[in-house]
Amino acid sequence: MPVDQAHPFLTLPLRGADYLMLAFDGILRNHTGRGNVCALAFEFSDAQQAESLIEPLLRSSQFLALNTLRLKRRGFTYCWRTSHRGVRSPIVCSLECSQLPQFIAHHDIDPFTDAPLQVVLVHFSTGHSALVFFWHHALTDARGGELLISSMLAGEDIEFELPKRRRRTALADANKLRREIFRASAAPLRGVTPGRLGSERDLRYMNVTFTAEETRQVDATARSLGLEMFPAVLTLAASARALAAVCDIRRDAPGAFQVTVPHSLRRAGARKPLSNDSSYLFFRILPETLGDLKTAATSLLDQSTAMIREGLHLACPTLLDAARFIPLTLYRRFLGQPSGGRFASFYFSDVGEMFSLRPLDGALSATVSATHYAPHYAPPGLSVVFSRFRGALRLHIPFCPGAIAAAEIDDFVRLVRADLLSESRVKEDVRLAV
Amino acid sequence: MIPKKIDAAELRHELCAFVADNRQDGDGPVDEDTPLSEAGIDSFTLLEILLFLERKYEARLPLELLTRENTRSIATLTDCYLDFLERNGAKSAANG
Repeated sequence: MPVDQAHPFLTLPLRGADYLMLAFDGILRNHTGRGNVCALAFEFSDAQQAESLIEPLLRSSQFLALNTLRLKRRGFTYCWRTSHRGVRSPIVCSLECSQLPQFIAHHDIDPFTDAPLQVVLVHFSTGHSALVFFWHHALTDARGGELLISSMLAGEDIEFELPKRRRRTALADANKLRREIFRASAAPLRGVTPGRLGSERDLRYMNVTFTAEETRQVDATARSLGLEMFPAVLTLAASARALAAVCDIRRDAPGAFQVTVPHSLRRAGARKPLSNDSSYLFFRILPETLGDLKTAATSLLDQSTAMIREGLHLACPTLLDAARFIPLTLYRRFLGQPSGGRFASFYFSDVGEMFSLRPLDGALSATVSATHYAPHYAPPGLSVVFSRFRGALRLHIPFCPGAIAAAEIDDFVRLVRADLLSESRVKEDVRLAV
Repeated sequence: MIPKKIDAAELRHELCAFVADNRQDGDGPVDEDTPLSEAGIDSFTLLEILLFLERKYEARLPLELLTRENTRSIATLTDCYLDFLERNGAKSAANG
């Protein structure tokens, strides 16, 4: 397939957050055999809808230009460059509906040899179809991926430039953040993967969808706690409490959770979807704050306020930009040490409404479902990702069965739902079953 | 802590500019009546708005005052902030 001459050659350097994602790629590959890959899946009620979208996409010069990128090393740093390897043909496969999450969990992209953006057309035996977009996390973040894919599907132009750098903080401030992260990770962390991590080849995803009525109930819970404007804090508090209950059932020693939360720096009107334009907030959740949802959420809100007041969310990009000149193998060792491979107790994200997909509403019918499949961060054994699509709350959990059993995941989901829906009776039932 | 003298119209104007620069969604103009829930701001951005007020006017708005009613629009948030300052003895030159 020839590459359109509109974008004959691209060179895109990796920024600090991209480099962090590349470092995680190596860590994940060592533990799971699969790299740091994101996916966005659109499901359609018939096969023609997916096919009608994929055909113009595959002819798009922008898709082809991205498809020919490969990661290259330049000294200690890396960049994406147009390769002469040519365009990978679209993958077409047939699956049962229930197999889709596992198919996604095992699709890998090696950024040095494979196209960093790929699309797979899936036919289901039921006559439904899906378009699954995969991209390497070093190429862009979740919101950038949404923007990239929705722009391409809508036939809009993409700016192949990196987002502008925002105000940079002094390296001394960035160092303060570095010391804070390592001080926290040096202490014993509570999580579902105690001790040193082994290999986890079995990767799973679980998706939970709240109904419209349940979503309204969650909003009512937030309102009753005075947190209606802070849904991310509410869902993080509920997740931490549920995971603590699961660890309690195991009779693990109590301890603090360390949770890494991405914070998108992409602002409205952004037309540059490439590169990870993100910062991170690092939460330390102490067991004594998890007694009830209100206390847990208030404590997290206080931490968020303190971190933002100190400017740590602004210091993070500066720290990451400086760190990308550290050789990758050494950088990976820093990330894995001294927490024994666990940089976090669990990863959490609440991406809010997947509003970058709104421009697609005209092209996609209201019955279309879109689901983000976050990278499978195996070392903590569990990630928790909340999002809203067309107003309905979703909970998406990448997990490793070797770290957390299916029954424990069920308990976790039940407890999160109980907290968010204010179903104290369900919660008590689970606790009594310990 | 005595906050600086605040002009309500100027505060609304500054908040509109801050939200327009920092929102994560939306492409229309931001004015004082734009519903904040539809202005494309997330929890962290709302905290940034509070810290913007804190830095600029040296007075911290308690988080419990961030009800949906008070954050319905930039105008209601401004009124809430000024009301809080007045109740706490701040020198406000709020004139609407």
